[in-house]
Order: sequence, then structure tokens, then C-alpha cells
Amino acid sequence: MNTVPESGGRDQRPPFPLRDGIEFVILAALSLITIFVIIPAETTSGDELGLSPGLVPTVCAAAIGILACAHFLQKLIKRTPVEQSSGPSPLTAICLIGSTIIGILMIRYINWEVGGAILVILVSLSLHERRLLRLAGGAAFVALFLYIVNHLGI
Amino acid sequence: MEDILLGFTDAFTPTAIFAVFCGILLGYIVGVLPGLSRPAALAIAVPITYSLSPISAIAFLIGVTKASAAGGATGAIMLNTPGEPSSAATCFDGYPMAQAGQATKALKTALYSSVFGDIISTLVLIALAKPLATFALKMGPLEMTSVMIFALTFIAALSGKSMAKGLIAGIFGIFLATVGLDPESATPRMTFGLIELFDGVPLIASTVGMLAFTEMLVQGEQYLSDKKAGIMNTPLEDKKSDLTWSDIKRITPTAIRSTFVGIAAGIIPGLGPTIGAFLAYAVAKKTAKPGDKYGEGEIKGVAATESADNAVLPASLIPLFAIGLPGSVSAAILVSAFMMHGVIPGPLIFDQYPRLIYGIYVSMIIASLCMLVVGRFGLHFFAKIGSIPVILIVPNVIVLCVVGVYLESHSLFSVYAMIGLGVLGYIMQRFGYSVVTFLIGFVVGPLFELSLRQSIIVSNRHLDEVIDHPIAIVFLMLSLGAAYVFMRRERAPLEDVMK
Repeated sequence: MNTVPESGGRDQRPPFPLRDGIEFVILAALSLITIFVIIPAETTSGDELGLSPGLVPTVCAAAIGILACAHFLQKLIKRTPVEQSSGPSPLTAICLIGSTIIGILMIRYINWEVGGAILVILVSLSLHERRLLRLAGGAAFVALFLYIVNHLGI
Repeated sequence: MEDILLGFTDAFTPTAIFAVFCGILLGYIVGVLPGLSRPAALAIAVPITYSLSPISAIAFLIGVTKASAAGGATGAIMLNTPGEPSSAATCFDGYPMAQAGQATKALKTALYSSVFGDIISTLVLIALAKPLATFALKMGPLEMTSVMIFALTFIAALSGKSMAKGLIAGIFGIFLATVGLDPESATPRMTFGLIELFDGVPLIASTVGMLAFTEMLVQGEQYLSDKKAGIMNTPLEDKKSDLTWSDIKRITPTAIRSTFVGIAAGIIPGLGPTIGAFLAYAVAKKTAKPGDKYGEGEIKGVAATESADNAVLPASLIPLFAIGLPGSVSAAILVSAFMMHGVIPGPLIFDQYPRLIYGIYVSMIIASLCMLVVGRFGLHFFAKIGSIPVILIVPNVIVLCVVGVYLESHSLFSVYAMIGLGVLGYIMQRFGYSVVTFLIGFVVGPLFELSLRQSIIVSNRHLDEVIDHPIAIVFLMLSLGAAYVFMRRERAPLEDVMK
């Protein structure tokens, strides 16, 4: 974006793209860690037969790092106006993820019917459902569904 | 000829026809419900087909995909809330028609246009896929690699606002596909000592997690946000208007034109149904006749978007069957269904499974006709279920995600992987990285790696060998050209296409 001179000669360029900068740092760091730590530690040489197993993962990780750098440079040069973080707060998503994990743990340690019912109740509560009848109905429906799936061996 | 007849026989078995019917019914419901998108529903439906025969399984999934495309129009017309992103363009004229008391007319137009676009596109698929596959068999690994590079570049460019982010997502998909045993030496690669990862990151868990679970997180957020803002959609009153012969005559040329726009959008990797529908609407608007009132309840607008939307899926199977390359996310999910039944889509499919392919073709035509019948008789019923609140959908779909993934592998590891990938998908979406490109990269990853390795070995590690492969050069040049053009002009939002 071009610099627009104002009467006072102040630079009207949008500020440094901080969010893109953080994204770049994270991606570049992950890319380097993958190339120099994870891939060497987690791939075994194929005894010189054919190509190295680490070839494609290394190329991919390097390409991601390079592209992240290119994207950041592009943002830095263009200095497009910073996009406000759009969308609702991620708190709901975190609650939904937490509810799902608790439900799965209940499935693992109790059984499918109880775990599924708890999962539905927790997810509904995360979505601010407070009507008891709805909560109980939803839980009963899912418990019945899972009972049928389990006992019919679908 | 024998294979064609056997394919017909397979497709006309009661199980296969019942599977198509169930798929259509489910697809319609999915299409109508605003909280559940087509790829998400398809991802959840794949594990359900585990115990079915390949033909019934694919027929069921094709039914889901086709009907969800048609059903998406119902919400767009009745509530101004598209059931599918690809039906968003239908809101422009469908909702004003409903406001004017012409909801039935708009719904019928959408249905007939969808069926029309779908059948024509299926016929184009039948005509083109095999000849293209025969041609593809003549291509070597170098050509295949360059075709995949081209397709991924195009998909990356079109799937988000930033091409670099699209490419990062696609390459990350390829990277994640390398987890597991190395294809040459069979040594473990990035498995972190987990035996469950020896077969790679589970495909079904990835598709369900990245599409369905992520979408439920987003829908949950949106629901609370809308509730806070007091946004409520209420269906409009219908004056029982009906479609007349003069209306059909008016919309036919638009539907034909839009069908071919949809077919083009299906064949070109990355465009997909949403862009196809918007492009068709833009073309219809450009070729408007005096008196046409696009944006104010023009019946041609509904016909344009819906015929294009439904024409995309059959056409997107052309590159899948011909070269094994899924051009859209729905096609990528269908790959996982094929693979679950031991079939690898690609040019060899016509030689290895001719009976299955012809069976699928026949099932696709049956699905189109079934869609017409189900859509016609359930017109008003589907219009009513569109108002089921998201708060009822989200918890049940999350349970279906968990059950579906578990049923496919009978292991909680896949369920954990689904949650992990769902979280990853959510983060990617929030930061503008395309989940669609990631999934397509993930699905074509093994094929890409194989072709790349073969290319390096065949060329004896001399990259200049590419000069002897003109087709590869053409596709590499096209990739560079596309990258240059798209990098220079980052893609405009869909609304800008309309201008």
C-alpha cells in the first residue's frame, strides 16, 4: 500500500503486521524443529536402498518454512490494513472440545451409553441449553441410540 | 459389454437401490439443515458404509452428496440461510421469491434445475472419464507429479484469500500423509513409537475431525454469537405458487448454460460447487435479457445457481477416475470410501474394477431420478425441517463423529486422532489456512510421494531429464504461471465475482 502524505507529513502506512509476524515465527520454528529434530529422530535410514525416507517430509517442512517467510515478506512489503480478528470468542469451541474429551473418557471408563449421554449433556450445556427436559431428552435419545448400536453390533 | 451389463445388474439390486434411496434421504436432510455441510455429512457417512458392498457404499455416498447439493436450496429459499455454502448464491433470488409468496415455485425450480444439471454432468462424466484414463495411463511418474503440482497450486490459490497460506495447508497435508511406514524401505517414519501410526494417520479420522468436528465447533460458536445478537430466522408464508410451462421455457437456456459452467468448475481442481454456483450466477446476470430482475426474485437466478451446483460433483469425479486426483473435498472424501473398500481410484480402475465403475455410473443416474422423486414429494416436509435449531444438531453430530470414527477402526486411538485433527482444523480455519486444501493434499499425499520418488529414480536423480517430458513441462509452466498470477492478485472474495 502506498504511503499517503498528510499535512503534517506523518506516515499513514498501516502498522507492522504483528499477527503475521507471530505466525511466521511459529511456522518457521516448527519447520526448523521438524527438519533438524523430529525427522532425524523419527526416521530410520533404509540401508541406502532407494531414496531416504526423510526426503519428502524434509522437502515439505522446508517448503512450509519458505512459504511462511514469503507470506510474511509479502505482508510486510504490502502493509495491507491489519484485519481485525473476526469471529466469536474461542471460549465456546474450547468448552465444546473439553466436553467431547470428557465424554470420550467416560465412554472409555464407564460405557458407551453413559459416556454418550454425558457428552450430549455437556455439549448442550456449553451451548447454554438450560432446559432440563431438553437435556434429559437429548441424553436419553443418545443413550438409546448407542445401546442399539452396541447391542445390535452395527 | 459383459462388464456393463454386470454393472447394471449390481446397481439394480434391491440393496443398492435402497442404499441410494437412504443416501438421498439423508443428503436432503443434511442439505436442508443449516448446521451441517455436505463434506461434513459425507465424512460422517463414510464409516457407516463399512459393512456394505462397495457398490452399495459408493451409491449411498453419491446419494448423500447429490441430494445435499439439491437440499441446500431449501434453507436458502425459505430462511435466507443456505444449507450449504454452494447454495448461498440461491439466496439472491430464491429468498426474494419466497418473500413474494412464490416459495413453492422457487423450490420446484431449484429441484428441477438440480436434477437437470446433475444428469447432464453425469453423462459428461460417463463420456469423458474412460478416454481420459486411457490417456493418463500413457503418462509417466514425472507427468503425474507435475499434474499434481499444478492441481495443488490451483486448489491452494482458489481455496482461501492467501495463496501462500493455501500452499502451506496443502503441503502440510502431504507432510502428514508421510507419517507411517516408508513406501520403499517399510521403515517407520514419524510414528513416535505408536504402532497405530504404522498405517499412517487414519484417513477417516482426518476427514471427520477436520470437516465435521471442526464445523460443529464453528457452528456452536456461531449459534451463541447469533443468539447474543438476537438473530432469528423465521420461514415465510407461501401462496402455493406453481411452476408453469412458460417458466420452464424461460429457465431452460439458463439451466443449460449454467450446467456447463458447473461442469467446468467440477473438472478444474479447486473451483468446487460454491465458486461454480457463483460463476454461473455471474454468467446468467451478464447474459440477462431486458426484463430480467436478478437479485429481486428472478426465477432464472435460482435455476442458474442450482443447476451449476449439482453439475459440479459428477464432473469432479472425472479427474478422480481418470488420474486419481480429487478435484474437490467431496471427491477427496469419496477416495477414502473407495480405499476403505480396497479400491484405489485412478486410471487403472477401469481395467481392475470395470464392473464397479459401470455400477457406479448406473447408480448415479438412479440417484438423480430418486432425487427428483424424493425432492418432489418431500418438498414441503424438507422446508419444515430446515428450522431445526443448531443446538439440537451440534451435540448429536458430535456423538455421530465419535461413533462413526470408532466403528471404522474399533479403536479409541482414531477417536483421539479425530479430536486432535478437529482442533487443528479449527485453528487452521481461524488463522485462514484452508482445511479443504489440507485434506486434498493429505489424500493425494501417498500418490504424490510415490510419483515423486519414481520420477527421481527414473531420471537417475538428474532433474534436467524433465526436458524430455513435454507434458510435464507444460504442467509445470502452468503451475508457475498460476502461482504468479494468483500471487499478484490475491483472490477476490466471492461477492466480488458477482460484480
